[in-house]
Amino acid sequence: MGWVIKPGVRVHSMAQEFWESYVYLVDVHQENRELRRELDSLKLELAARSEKAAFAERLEELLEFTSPPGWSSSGLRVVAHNYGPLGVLESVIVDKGRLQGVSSNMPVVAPEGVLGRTYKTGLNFSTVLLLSDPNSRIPVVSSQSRTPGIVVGQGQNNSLAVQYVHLNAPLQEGEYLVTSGTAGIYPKGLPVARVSRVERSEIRLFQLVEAEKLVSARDREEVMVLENITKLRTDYLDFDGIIRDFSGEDRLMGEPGVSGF
Amino acid sequence: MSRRVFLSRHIVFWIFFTILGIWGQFFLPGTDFFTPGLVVLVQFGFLNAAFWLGCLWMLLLEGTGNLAFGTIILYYAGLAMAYSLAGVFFEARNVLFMALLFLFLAVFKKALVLVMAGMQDLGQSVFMDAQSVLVQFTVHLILWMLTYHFFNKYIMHELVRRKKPVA
Repeated sequence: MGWVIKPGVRVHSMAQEFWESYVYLVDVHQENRELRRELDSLKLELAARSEKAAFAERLEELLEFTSPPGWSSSGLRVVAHNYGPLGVLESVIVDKGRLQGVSSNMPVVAPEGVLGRTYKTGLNFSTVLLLSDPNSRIPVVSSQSRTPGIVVGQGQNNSLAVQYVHLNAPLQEGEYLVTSGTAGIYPKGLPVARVSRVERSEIRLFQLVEAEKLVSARDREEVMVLENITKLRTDYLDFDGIIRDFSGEDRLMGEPGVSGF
Repeated sequence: MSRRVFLSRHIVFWIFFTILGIWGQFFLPGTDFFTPGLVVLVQFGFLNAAFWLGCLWMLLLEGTGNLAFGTIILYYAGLAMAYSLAGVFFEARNVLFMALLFLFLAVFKKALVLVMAGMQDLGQSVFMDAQSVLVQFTVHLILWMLTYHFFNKYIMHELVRRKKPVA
């Protein structure tokens, strides 16, 4: 009897064990699926939060930038690079235009230095001409030796050229080039590039100077546009050189507190 | 399928095409994604739609470009002329014809941009390079094949397939 019942009991217990483990496995499988789903949603949440944290860091970096005296700054978001078949210039499109007070020839900067200037403005978007474009020219002066020159772009993947540097100018490699403020577009003293190569040759009229830009447009998602606040007052300047301010008082140019240009 | 359904499908198709084109131009700077759409519309005889969509895409391209207004008008005029002239000698839906047309358009667009940029003193930024011409040609040809296939399958054939038999 034992021989008959024992295998039956064994088969029964095996079947029970199999059934329980099967049911258990089904539960585990379901639990596994739920955990995976939860993990996926947590991964998505983590990615979103990391993106937010990176965005906050970038904004913090922008907020640390202090505008030069007489200039105000506002943030812009980069929308696209060299967009469309007619995007022939080294340029980026930013998300503010004429309706937000952006006009052409306004300096566009990042905390590290100059990125370029606004070139063409639409109602809600503007095109920024980058330093690296061959049509971009910025008058600069070196930070230590105060050597003047003109920074000219040579294309996206090439370094910048610094033109009209006199042969006897004491310009050194590693010096920073800052805006000279003479062209009227950029305020004085904004960092533009760092000198990477200086070559003096007797057969040239000027030194052959190359510089590396400080801001790469490819890496920037947010930038700032600078607006000359004092320039607005020139609208009130009449031919006598008298500024009519909002109080109705007329003051001559050069008087204390009058900053026409 | 009623005319209204056909029209709404037509509109949805071209909205989708425009959105894809905008994103395509975002990822491939300097490349045009809209011309194959115009060619497909002309090939299927939707000349009115080609005109209005052409105007819309022209405004989009001119607005986002760096050149003065008019380059895309000249480009589309060149497209219309090349299509009409070549159509005299070739079957207009032939792949070889399309390849030749898009090769011409890729070179023509580059040359046009070069001339227009030069006239606006922006010539230093533009130069004739084989790579961009080749990319433009490839994009046009592949996009035309896809657009033609999907337009034919989902817009044109649906009209015939779902037509109720005459009692």
